[in-house]
Amino acid sequence: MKFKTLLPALLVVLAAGCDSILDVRPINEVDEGTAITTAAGARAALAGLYDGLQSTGYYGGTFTFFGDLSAEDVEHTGTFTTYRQADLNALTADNTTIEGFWDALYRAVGRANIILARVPTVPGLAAAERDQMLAEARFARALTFHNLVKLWGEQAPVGMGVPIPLVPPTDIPTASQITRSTTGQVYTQILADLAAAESLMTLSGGGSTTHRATIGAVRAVRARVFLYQANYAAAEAEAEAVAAMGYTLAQNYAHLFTQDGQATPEDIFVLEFIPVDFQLLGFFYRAKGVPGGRREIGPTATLLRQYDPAYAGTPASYNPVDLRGQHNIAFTDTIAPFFVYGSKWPTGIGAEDVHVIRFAEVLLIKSEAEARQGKLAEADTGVNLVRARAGLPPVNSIALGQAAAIDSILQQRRLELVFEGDRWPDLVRTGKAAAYLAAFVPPLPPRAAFQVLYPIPLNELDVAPGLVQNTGY
Amino acid sequence: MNRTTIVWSTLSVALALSLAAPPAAAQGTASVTGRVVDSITAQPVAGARVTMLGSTAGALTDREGRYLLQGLAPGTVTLRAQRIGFAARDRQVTLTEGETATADFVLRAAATVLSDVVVTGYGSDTRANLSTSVSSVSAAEIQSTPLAGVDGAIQGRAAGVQVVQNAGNPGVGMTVRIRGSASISASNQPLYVIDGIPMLRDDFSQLGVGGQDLTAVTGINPDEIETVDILKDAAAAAIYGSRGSNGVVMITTKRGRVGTTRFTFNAYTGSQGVPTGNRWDLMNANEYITYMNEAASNDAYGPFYFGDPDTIGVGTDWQSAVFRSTPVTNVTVGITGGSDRVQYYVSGSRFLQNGVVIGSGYHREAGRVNVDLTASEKLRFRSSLSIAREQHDRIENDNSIAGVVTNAIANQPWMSLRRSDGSFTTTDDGLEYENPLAIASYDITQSRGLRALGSLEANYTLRPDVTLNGRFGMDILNLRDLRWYSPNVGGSYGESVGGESIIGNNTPTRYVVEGFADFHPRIGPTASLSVTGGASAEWNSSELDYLDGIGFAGDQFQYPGNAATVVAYDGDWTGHNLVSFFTRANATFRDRYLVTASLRADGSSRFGSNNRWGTFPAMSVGWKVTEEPFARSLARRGDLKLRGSYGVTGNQDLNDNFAPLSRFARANYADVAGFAQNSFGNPDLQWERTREYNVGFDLTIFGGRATIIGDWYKKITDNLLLNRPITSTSGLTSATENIGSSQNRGLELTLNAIPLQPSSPEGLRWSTDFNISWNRNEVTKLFQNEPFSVGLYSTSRVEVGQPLSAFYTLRFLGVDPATGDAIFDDINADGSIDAADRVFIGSPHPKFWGGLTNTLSWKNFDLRSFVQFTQGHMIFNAIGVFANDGGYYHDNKFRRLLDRWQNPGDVTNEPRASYDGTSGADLISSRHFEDGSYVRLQDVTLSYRLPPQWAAALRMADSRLYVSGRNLHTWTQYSGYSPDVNSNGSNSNTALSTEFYAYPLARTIMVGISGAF
Repeated sequence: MKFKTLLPALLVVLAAGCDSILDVRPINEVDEGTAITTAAGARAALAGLYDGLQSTGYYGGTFTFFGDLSAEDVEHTGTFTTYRQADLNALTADNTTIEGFWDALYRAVGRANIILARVPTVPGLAAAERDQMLAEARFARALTFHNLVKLWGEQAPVGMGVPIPLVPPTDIPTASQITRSTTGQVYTQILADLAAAESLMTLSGGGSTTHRATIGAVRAVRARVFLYQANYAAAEAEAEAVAAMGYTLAQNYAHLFTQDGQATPEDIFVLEFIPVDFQLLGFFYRAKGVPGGRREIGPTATLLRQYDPAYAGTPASYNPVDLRGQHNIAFTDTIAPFFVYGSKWPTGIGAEDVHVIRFAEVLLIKSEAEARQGKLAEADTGVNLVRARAGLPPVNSIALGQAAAIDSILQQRRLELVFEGDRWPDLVRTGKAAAYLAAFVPPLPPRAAFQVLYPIPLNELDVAPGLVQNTGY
Repeated sequence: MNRTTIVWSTLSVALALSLAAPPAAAQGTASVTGRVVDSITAQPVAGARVTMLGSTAGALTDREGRYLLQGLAPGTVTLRAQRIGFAARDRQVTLTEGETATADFVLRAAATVLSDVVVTGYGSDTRANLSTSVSSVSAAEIQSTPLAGVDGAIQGRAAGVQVVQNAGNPGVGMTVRIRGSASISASNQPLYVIDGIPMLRDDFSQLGVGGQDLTAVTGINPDEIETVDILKDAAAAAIYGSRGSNGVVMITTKRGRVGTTRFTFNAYTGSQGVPTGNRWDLMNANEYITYMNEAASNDAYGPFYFGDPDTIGVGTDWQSAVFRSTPVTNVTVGITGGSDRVQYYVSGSRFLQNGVVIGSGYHREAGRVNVDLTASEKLRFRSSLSIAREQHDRIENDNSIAGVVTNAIANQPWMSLRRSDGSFTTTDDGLEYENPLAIASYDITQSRGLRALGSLEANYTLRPDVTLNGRFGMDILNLRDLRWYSPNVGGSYGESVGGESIIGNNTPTRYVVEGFADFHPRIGPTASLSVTGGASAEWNSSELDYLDGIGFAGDQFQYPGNAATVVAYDGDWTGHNLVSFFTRANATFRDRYLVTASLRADGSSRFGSNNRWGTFPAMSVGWKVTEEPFARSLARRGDLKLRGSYGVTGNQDLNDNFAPLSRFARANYADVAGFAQNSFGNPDLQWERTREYNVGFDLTIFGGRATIIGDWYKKITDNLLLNRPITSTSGLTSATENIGSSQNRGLELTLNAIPLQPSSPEGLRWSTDFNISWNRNEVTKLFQNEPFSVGLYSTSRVEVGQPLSAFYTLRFLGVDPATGDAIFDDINADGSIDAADRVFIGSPHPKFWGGLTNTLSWKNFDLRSFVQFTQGHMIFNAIGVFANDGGYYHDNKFRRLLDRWQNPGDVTNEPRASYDGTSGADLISSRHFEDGSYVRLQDVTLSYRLPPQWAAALRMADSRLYVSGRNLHTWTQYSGYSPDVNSNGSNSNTALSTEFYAYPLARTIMVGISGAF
């Protein structure tokens, strides 16, 4: 029978074919060694970097949520206990959302580092395009280091900052030896990255390009960085430079938060979202009962009273003059039972673009920097533009006096940037966070002073033993 | 290995010594000789004992079935031939001085456990000749079980096999653990091999429907199964090498026999429901409002914050609103028969199971054609082919805020199900969560499978002692998912986006080509040897696509083709291949010393180029003590075999087929195509390795009426495949490495007995089958021995020295009678209760479990009962986080909170209600954990065999009417639907025994008929 010869033949074929049978390669993924070796690969890696900024652990979610939850204007109304910890300022180092947050930021840094390491040697890239790519990577890294240091880093320049990896890891043991740089070192690196980005950047500012980093974005973020460093003269100068590029406020506050990403002259750098990118902001802020989302977090009565001091806990009693208060706050119903929710994002689809920095913030940076330098007359210009757009009368800083003038500018920052994750970093920056935590007295649960800084995730400490935890955790 | 060598040497010496046994004493000069043959096969029966009654004379038959008794006194004597596995036969024979008389015996096989044939992988053997540990479940035990898959049917049936149903959703996957859990990141589910072909087992659906998942195991109709043999110890499973560590479930389907064509049928229909006593005991509207008001007023929100309880009544029973009484039916018909050359088994079936929760259900239409063809004296072909179609009507289930059961438990009882105009209430009306009946009525979650699973095998007898075998097998599955979030569900995401539709297609395929040879040389009258060796190659791939769109012009457009916006999509291919060489030798000496050794070498594409091949050796020995001459007097009454084995197996069941490679994957920015690194490659990656020792015995007593099988094992698993965390500052968060070890050790006992054996077939017969297993699991090594927490609310902890995923949380000590606040154990005595005070409070693994089947037969009646039990595991009742939280959330509450603390001096275990969570009631602690021990009356079946004359009148044979009840009663302290729960589903390794709104188990009462004509 033929079968007699078939079987040994089969065995031989099998033995000979083993190696080829066992070499199975992925189709939809590409090997690390060949990924960034062409112009197309370099461009894909750059898109991947922006994808990193879009993460639901970063601008697409946690960065905004926790920046709001830790402060007084937003509270936890959903079911995630990790969010509740942030709301109660009772974070623990094993909070998994904090871990995802930290991971997402360093994932973006890692993607920038790979571009910075590989793109310079990619053949077939024109110098201008290559330099623009490197500039964008530097910008994204600086932005992210700043977001890290403002939440996890001690404020004093000699204090513990955050780790600042600058090259892709060669192997895991080496990567695990990382330590925290001082806050001063982190800021030095941020400014070095921004300076390099500015010099390499070919895309100018002024609003023609907003979905990628431009010189306008670099300088606007630098203004913010200087403000955080309390280098007010430099902050003012950078803000003025940005203003000179031709940005103006959007005519209508609501135009900034449209589903189809309508461009406004206020945009400096927005992350563009289409439905498949799905940012969580609308889905988590909007209420269950109306088109939108799960109301995982919601505005507090405190916030509503900032917009309308007469707010008495019912929809009928909320009649803000402030147009932002009209846009940002909504109720599920006019009579009980109702929920109040954040309506800044018009849908729960997750396709609204997210502003990383916009001109209103630059104006407020400029006003604050001026007020803090005692230039009270100049300070009115920026803040009054923002107030006017909100339907509020102008202020006179000189009449208010310096301290009250600064407070009124910070209040505008609060009302303008609410639900954008700015409030808690602002409280920390201005030294008010500790006072906020101390203000909770029984029967409210006590909040510990060390909670001003976020904890480094427990799992991170386990695998990078050189990292030192923030005090108190 | 040194210790192993010593064990084997010792056993070898014992064997050698026992070979020198003394001959029997002589009394006269008469002799008798003869042959003992099997009544059915006419083959010689070796090892039968022929004795002369009233004397000590006796002899064993040789391989030819021949015996010789010498030196007997003359006269008429009675000889008895007996052999375990056969009914004893007596014969009178007259002996004459100096002559040799002849007395042949024809023995009729009497089914005993030891005569059962056990499928061992690339071969089979009788249990009597087995020296490894294998459990078997017969067709009778699994047929007519109202469950989709064979995994549920073997629950409680086999020692060492733990099956957790997880939830009662029709057709979902179950957790099957053979001798415990070993792995952290790779699968712990066993390998299923059907008619020699390793079967697809995973969940290939792309829909996330909450906690429960599907399993491809449901693609087989349990009625088509003849036997299930479970290879438990490493020596048995090592023939499957790198996939043997979790045990191997060998499924053999029914085949045709020579004879006239018979039509067989089995049909049943039943009604399923959720008995009121099995439901969550929740508050009614009045109790709820009273409780919530108290929570608010305790925290200074004033009285009647939630309204006046006296005007509210009892409100809505949301559970009753979504439960229903609903049918389950199954019809299996078959045609079987055959000539000398061709035998066939053809069957078709339809299984339909509506779910007891509205909107859910499962049905399967399956067909099978098994044909055996003898082409020539030397060449035989066997084909096995099954084609099945499955439809899972799934509903959003546990672990989801849009779940039907979830929202039936969680919604406030004072809310109405419908508005006055008859439409469903929504979150706009004040419902805390979407209306569960609206979800069940409008949303669609469907997974439909088409499956072709089969093999073609050729056996060629090269020489009388050599057979060559070639086998081709395939398992092809296409699973189509369809999901529709209707805009009609008020307050849902579907409403907010104008409807959402998802379709997904997944087509996993497996092709197997194998060739192996069997060699059975004749090496002597009382010794045998068989050697099997061959090679196998396996190709696996999976292609999928996925499309998710929102925005529809109406509720009637339920496919993404009508979507306004695409919000998610996918399309991908993945694959992995396996090449193997294997050999096994079975040797028997003097019919009583058994040695089996096997070796498998596997090469897998899943592993790094540096560690692509692994070898998996195993050896086992058996000693049939009662075949020894010195134990001859015992042999008539019983049979004892001692077994010992050692083997090495592997586990390669990683989700990631390309773990050795560093890869970049899709990372688009809006409409710009992008990619980013998603993994650190590890070219040194290899399989998990399990080494297992097994010692056991098979003891048959009372002349075959009772068999006890016992095993002790120790399983050491190391090189665990672990997705271990790495520093995020590297840009990635985990890497797959071989780190860590775990251990399982345990005891298993199986008893099969016939306490009552009637003298006539009409009499009362009682048979009982009992099995019990103990397993102790321990994690022995982790990455840097660093413990980590997983699972809901991070309450499951993986820590060295503890069972895998032991529960770790605050210990609740009681309620302060003065304040009503919860008191927790301040472990570090620092005056505050926080994460540092967490302790281990229990294990999700049972201490022991098993099953008991009793069958009483009398005349034409059979009464069979099956009790299944599991003791000593704890359940994390995470529903308590919302329903026993002091009133922090608006969810409905457990009714036992009526016993809460209300006034100073109250002594109770339920803390003060507190809307702000100031009483500590909302902290996750041991308060939320319950003892999961249970004993369940799983099955009672009463059947009636039609008397032959009736059957003949109907031209039928073997016909049986039966009435059966399933899940009749559970004795347990657990407060939920079923203590057999895990809301993390069957693919979860480290988050176990957790309740988070699981679907209830149905109680089923059914009637059926089976027979043939």
